[in-house]
Amino acid sequence: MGDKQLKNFTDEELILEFQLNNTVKAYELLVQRYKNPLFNFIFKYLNDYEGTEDVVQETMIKVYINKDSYKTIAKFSTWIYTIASNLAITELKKRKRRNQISINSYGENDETMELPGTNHSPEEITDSGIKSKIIMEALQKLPEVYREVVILRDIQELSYEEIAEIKQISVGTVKSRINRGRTQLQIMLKHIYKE
Amino acid sequence: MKNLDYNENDFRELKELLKSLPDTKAPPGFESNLMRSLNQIKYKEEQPSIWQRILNSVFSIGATASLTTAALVLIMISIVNNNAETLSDFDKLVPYPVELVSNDVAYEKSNSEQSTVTKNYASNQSRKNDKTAKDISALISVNQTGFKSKAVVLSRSATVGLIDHDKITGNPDDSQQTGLSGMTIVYSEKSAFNPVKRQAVSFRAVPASEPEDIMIDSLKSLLKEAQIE
Repeated sequence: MGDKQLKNFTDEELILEFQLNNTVKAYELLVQRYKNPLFNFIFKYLNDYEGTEDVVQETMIKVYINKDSYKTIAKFSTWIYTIASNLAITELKKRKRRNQISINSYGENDETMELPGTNHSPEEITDSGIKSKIIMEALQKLPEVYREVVILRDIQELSYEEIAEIKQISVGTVKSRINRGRTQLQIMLKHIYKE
Repeated sequence: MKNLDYNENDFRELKELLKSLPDTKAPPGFESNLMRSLNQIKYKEEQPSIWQRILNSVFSIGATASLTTAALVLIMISIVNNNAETLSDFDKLVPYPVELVSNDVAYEKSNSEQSTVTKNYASNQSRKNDKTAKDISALISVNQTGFKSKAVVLSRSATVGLIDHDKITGNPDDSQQTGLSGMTIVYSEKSAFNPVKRQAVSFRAVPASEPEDIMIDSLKSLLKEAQIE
């Protein structure tokens, strides 16, 4: 099968081609399509580039090895995001055990939060680099359950239905978590977007 | 359900802030690193584990030991049989005059040294039904250099006879003389690419039919031709 022909394939057609004919080119195209979106998602979630690279690579390896476990009834994007999300959660748990990072405890009822960026002057905040850093810090302070859904919705722009499928929860729960996460973020970042 | 009654526009500014975050991209060598990792995984999968290797070596030692034992047993049987064989044994084996029967079962066997064509004239129905006939065959091989030949007789009781001949005498008549109930005659010829070519005929001491006699005659002539060459 020609490369040009494969490039016109949808994600689902590519994974099917890889499943049925073991066409590595189809797999490579999927990697090309998803490496950056996954990097973006996982980096916002972990806030660590090296760890992100490991998780994304592991995700791609899992897709390669477990290609046959993909069922055509699901969207490929949902499947790959589910794998990446699970691996990212595992990575965070490992880090917690190693006490490498300090984040708020995992849970929806945890309302504790700190205001980030208090050490930055208003002049600094206008700098886009600093602003990004403050937003990232705020994201990391969000409880994981909120952080993940907020990233998937507001940064990755996935639909509520897709997020519900990835997280294996109801659409209502997704909306609720996103709302809570946004509310907390809004409080944390109030001093930035009011600039 | 207060939390669900929110409006997307309530967080418009926040969403803009989040969208303003720079996109994080994969490093340039991501694909090549990934393919290297995949190849390593595949290589590891192909390599047997330490336990598999141990088990394989144990089994291979066992198989070698079994084969060696089997080979030793065969050698021992062969030695015992060779020691037991005497020319006079032939006479004891077959109590009645030998006639030849044919059963044209041919096979070819090739190996690095020789190509053998054997015509077996020994296994027809009458032979199978003849309970008194002993399952004996003689092997007379003739090589090109001087047509030295041997006759080896094997019976169910594993009696082995060995006759040396100065000429091709391992023909059906020999079996009458020796009283063999069965005989295989092999003649050989050399060629440039096939050092030894052999043809063999075996026969047993059961009544031969007319077509079988014709076949035996043709065998005799073949042997004679080989001798002339």
